[in-house]
Amino acid sequence: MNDPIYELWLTTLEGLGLKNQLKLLELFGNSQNIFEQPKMSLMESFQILDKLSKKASEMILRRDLGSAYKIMEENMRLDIHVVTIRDENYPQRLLNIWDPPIVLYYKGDIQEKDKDAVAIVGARKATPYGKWVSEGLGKKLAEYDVTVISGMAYGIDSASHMGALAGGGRTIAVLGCGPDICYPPSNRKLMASIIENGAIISEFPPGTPPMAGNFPRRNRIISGMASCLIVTEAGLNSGSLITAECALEQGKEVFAVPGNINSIYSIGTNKLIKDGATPLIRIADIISELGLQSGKEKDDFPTEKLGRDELIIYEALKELGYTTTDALCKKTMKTVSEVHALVTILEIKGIVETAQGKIFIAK
Amino acid sequence: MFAKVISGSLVGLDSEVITVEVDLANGLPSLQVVGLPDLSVRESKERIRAAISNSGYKFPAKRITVNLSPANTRKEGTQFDLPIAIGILIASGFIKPAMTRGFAFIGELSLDGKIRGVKGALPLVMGLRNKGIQKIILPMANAEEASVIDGIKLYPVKKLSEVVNFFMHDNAIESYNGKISEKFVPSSASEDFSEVSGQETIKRALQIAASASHNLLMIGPPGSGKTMMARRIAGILPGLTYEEKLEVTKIYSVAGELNSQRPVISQRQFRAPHHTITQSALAGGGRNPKPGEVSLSHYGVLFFDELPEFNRNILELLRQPMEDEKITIARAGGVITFPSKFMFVASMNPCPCGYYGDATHECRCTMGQIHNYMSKISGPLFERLDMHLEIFPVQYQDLTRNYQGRTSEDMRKEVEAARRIQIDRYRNEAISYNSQLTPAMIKKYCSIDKETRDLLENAFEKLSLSARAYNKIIKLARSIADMEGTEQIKLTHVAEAIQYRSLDKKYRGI
Repeated sequence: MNDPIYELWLTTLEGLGLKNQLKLLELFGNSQNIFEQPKMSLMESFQILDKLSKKASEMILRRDLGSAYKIMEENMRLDIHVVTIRDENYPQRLLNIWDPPIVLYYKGDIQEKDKDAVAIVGARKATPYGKWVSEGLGKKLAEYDVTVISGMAYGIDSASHMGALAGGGRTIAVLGCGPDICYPPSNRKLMASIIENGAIISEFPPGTPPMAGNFPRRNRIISGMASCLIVTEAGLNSGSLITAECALEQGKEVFAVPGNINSIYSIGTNKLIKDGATPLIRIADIISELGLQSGKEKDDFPTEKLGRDELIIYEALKELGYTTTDALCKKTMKTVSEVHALVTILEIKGIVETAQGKIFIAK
Repeated sequence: MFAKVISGSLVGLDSEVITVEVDLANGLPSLQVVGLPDLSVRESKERIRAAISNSGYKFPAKRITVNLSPANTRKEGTQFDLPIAIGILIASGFIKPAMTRGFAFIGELSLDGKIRGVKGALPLVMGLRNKGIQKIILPMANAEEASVIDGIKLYPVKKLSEVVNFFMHDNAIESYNGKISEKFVPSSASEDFSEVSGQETIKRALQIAASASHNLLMIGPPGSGKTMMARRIAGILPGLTYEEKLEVTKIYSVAGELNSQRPVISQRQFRAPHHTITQSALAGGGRNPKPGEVSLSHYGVLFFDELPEFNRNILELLRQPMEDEKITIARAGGVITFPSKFMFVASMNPCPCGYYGDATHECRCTMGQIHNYMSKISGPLFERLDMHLEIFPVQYQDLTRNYQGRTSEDMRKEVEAARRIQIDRYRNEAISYNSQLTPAMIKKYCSIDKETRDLLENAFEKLSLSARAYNKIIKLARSIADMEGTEQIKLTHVAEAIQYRSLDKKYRGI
């Protein structure tokens, strides 16, 4: 592995944007060359850079590795690894995007098979349905040994990671802050198990706070590292639509999970489908889409395993969709106590789910 | 020239007999009250002077000393006006001392000689009766309230002159004889469950909660009917017994919450303090402690609307009275214990704006805000909530349909039957209903068969329920079984109980 000190130097120069960093790299081959260029040739190169600030040019010419060494020390202390664009274990898919991160900080490990990873993203504020779909997708992919990439935010992101972990698979979270910072803080436990079974990745050095501007930028890494992208639930202004855009620019296939047309939580995903994304109408579909299996699965849940009353509830739910106990009682002409008992049993059998007081079919 | 009159003073919910001693001596005219009177008693001097003069009697131009004995306890309240005035009139020779023997006096005077009602008349009269007093002269305004006690003759009066005439001329005052039984009959509740369209799930859950006094939390968007449902819970609780009515009436009497429209408390009370409530208004307080909301909802329902809006210290304060069913308050005026055995009901929105999870309204909160909002109810108070219910607005079709739901009375009858089973089962225990079961008692009274145990274990694993839910689910299942009148807890009971623990489910926290 190469010594990343010059990359660290280049990427943390104050005022020097990623675009210009990449241009300099293109000109001089690698960061060490930039560092060792005579002043004249550097000054010359500044002409072709894009709106280079005075501050940035001064910083380059100063050639001070102090802060880079400091980051190295921090990395040691916090058990953070660094992979640069020159390294062999740098995620190869990222080389194909036009603005790849020069340095990635990570905790945990990045493996060869992660190149076939699938990204699942969606809104933070999601419905139980959206979370259930994401969890199911994560789990399904884990069963086929496919790594799941997401952003560890509330809602869909967390559910996707959890699904992958529950299925015993690998999962990678790309953060918009330093890899040492847990954001949101309540995901501390999740973050620990992701490090255990995958990696926390960020292009920001340790200590970087989760600033709003960082998040759209990290989205390109989520889609860039994956072979394809699934958006499970997104409102009209969701950040996941930015990720979908990145994926399209990068030439990745985008899947979207359709939702009710009156649900404000699914407007974004439905719009993606309208714009040409592939609708994912069953969780198992993703497996056949990835070419991992022929896709010859039974359409419906094997209902013969259910008792007579359970079947009545199941059929009613199929008709009503996402509904409440009250509606179910009215539909089946059963008492509240009967319905509650049956729903619990179906829940344990994994056929229905209840969340926030509503019931829906989970299989 | 000395006189002695009997009266009473409040000590928490009880009272003690106070002897009012009056002495007239020669000297500069003055009126002095001793025996640790507080401000309301000391001010009585001016009322008494004016009331005696304005009733047409001569206020003695003497040096008057009044002693409230025992002189070492603090006295509070305006009920001493009448006994002091009578004492002065006896001492100055208007009334023969022998005439007043066996009588006790309570009442506040106004300047024109009228007699006004006092706070705490019921416990005062009760205390006097217990000390062997058989006849009491009291304000007309308190007569109805005090009449629930038997074994004492009440002489209600409106004016000071009535009392004087009674003793001077034997103008008998009619002793009060309203029928107690009539008063303690609860009027039918003004708010009935039959007015609530739909919401069968919540009604069923509330009935289970009422049958064993399970504390509960309702979560739902604005307009889903949380408050409407909560207001009706008191109406499906079993009726109060005579002793319970007396106990609650005493609390209200001391708190000064009784009036001519509501002379006695015959129904379970519904108290819904606003979230700006102070600690002393909730727990009780004051220099001479008065009962707070936790005691005013004794045997009734204490409802916290918008639970997360309450200050954390207010919520913390609830723990001890919920656990001990009483609250002890120590103040300068003494250490007092008030009972506080209430059913706790709370409601909250799913998020600060109220629309998280709603299919049609957009929620404007960030996930961080929702987390903060939910985390306010976590911790010790959360541990004490047996049921969490999600409630949704009723569909428009349900509102317009000519709907005839079950009446509160029908629901109450089932609740009463379930309570009887519980009281009978726990007759040898220190508890009276399922929500009070301790872990040891759960083992003894809530046996479940193998099949049910398997279901429960499965549920914990598959539904990722939290461990603390275990005992709560068993207790709820016990109550559901009692509602059906079956001794053995069945699988369906446990399965139903699991549905009443919505906050334990996943997808809430992420």
